[in-house]
Amino acid sequence: MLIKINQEIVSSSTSYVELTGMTNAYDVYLLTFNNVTLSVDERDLRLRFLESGTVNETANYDYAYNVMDASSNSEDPVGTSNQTSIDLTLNTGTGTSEMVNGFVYIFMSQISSQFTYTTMETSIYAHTARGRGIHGGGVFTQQSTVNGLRLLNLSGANILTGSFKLYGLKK
Amino acid sequence: MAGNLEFIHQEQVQGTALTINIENVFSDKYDIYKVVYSGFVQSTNVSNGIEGFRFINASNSVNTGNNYAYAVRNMLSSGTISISPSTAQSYIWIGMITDRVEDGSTSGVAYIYNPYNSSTYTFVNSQASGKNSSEKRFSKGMGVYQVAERVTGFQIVETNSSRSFTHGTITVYGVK
Repeated sequence: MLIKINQEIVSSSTSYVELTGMTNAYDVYLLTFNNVTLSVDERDLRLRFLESGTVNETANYDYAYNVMDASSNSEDPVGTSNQTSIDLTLNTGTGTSEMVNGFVYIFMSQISSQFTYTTMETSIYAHTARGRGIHGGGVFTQQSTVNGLRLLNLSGANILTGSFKLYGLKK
Repeated sequence: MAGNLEFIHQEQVQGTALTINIENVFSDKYDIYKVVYSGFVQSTNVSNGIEGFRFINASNSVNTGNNYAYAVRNMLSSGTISISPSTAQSYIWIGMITDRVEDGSTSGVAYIYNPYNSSTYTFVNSQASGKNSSEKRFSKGMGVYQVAERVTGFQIVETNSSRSFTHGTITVYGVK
């Protein structure tokens, strides 16, 4: 069963979205997002975690994903370490119907002696009108307790629209 | 804050059918839907895929036009990994492969985004697990229905007239 913890509906330009309220009431969390548009072409939506309400911007994020492209057999695998955020999307666009949708499961976030782990899947209508998606995972390599998350772009794009919801998976 | 995965509808395949229409399940109550299908089998001994999803609009019309794009990553137990991309298709393939009941079935989950929003496209993320007499296949995929219209339901379609569905259960939830 999903229990909604927090939500943010964006309808005007903002530099980031924060969802807080993660506690040890739940072991696993689910973040969903849909109808997400950014203000600049060829940008991506990224994820950072909050510890005691403070966003962690250090190079403690590793992730990897594969790309699925409706127009190509190319897989464009990405794997990288020591980043300052986890990449959730790619090639966002500002054209008609170009947007991002997806979900992220978050594990181990409430155990202070462990890293926080994620899996993700997205469905995107990307820049230049391409159907794309990614699936993969990430690790926040900080032994800490996480109490929230921030969604943003690191390259100057704002979030223009989107519905962001954070759920706990009931024990 | 209230929230839940809320049951909307369940339907079982009755008799034999080439298409299964799940109508009037999307509304303004949810932005995201979870569709769980399980135990889909067909009437003949085949080793082939089921075409997949088409969408039904507010006029209860199934869109059979070439308005769908998808990409599916195929992972076979033999070790073969591949991608099936396609644009301008008349369906979204969600990785379903099956057989007659003695030889296999397919089950999986699909998340559907924004179907009821008449100003946006409708998006899909899919996960499937299936077996037929020649392979065991697991997949993850994405799809886009490239028509900005209000979508109220969906169809699971098989285009080969000799491969009717005989078993299967579909359950639709709203992610509140």
